[in-house]
Amino acid sequence: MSHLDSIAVRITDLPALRRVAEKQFGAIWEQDKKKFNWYGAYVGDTKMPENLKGIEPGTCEHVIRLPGVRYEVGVVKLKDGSYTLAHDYYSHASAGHDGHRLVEKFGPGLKKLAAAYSTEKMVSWVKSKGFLVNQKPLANNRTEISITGIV
Amino acid sequence: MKTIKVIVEEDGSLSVDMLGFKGNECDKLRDEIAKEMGIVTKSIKKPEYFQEVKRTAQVKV
Repeated sequence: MSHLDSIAVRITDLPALRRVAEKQFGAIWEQDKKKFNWYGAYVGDTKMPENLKGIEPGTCEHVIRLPGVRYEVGVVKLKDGSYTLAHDYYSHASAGHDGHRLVEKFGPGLKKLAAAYSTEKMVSWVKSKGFLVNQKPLANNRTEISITGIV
Repeated sequence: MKTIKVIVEEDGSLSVDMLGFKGNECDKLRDEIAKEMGIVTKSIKKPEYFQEVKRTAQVKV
């Protein structure tokens, strides 16, 4: 080609998300748990993400939990049918608020989890097409996926 | 050799480069990837896109 494309990934494949959460991060998937642990009240100290507006804070479809961590990640369904990841990074040791531990594991803004999902989903698609795939890690938590065997 | 090179960026977004394709022969795969993965936020056509694909045909008389 011919084209260079930039793609904003939408989470649509929950089994793929679950696989990476469990296998790569040692997290526990809580199916159909409709609320995730966070500070518990939106106090307006940070800007609400645009795609979460209109959704009651703390509600979700499923929960991703880390063993020994009280705060959790909510898998939230959006109006377009895709999902996003919600979490609270607030920390206060004396009060049991440990959002920083989610950030330590999944990266700021849960980017590591999002990137792992993208890689899993992309590789899964490649295999379903019968193409050959080779992946290698790059600097700054980036991954290169080379796809060949295309006729 | 036709190759698709995908970079999964730090935030999970993708940069997709299709190599060794001529003309618009990669459009179908490109559309499939976009449909599977998300929303195309930026697209640049490389010079190869505008190259004519040579086709041969046999004609029976």
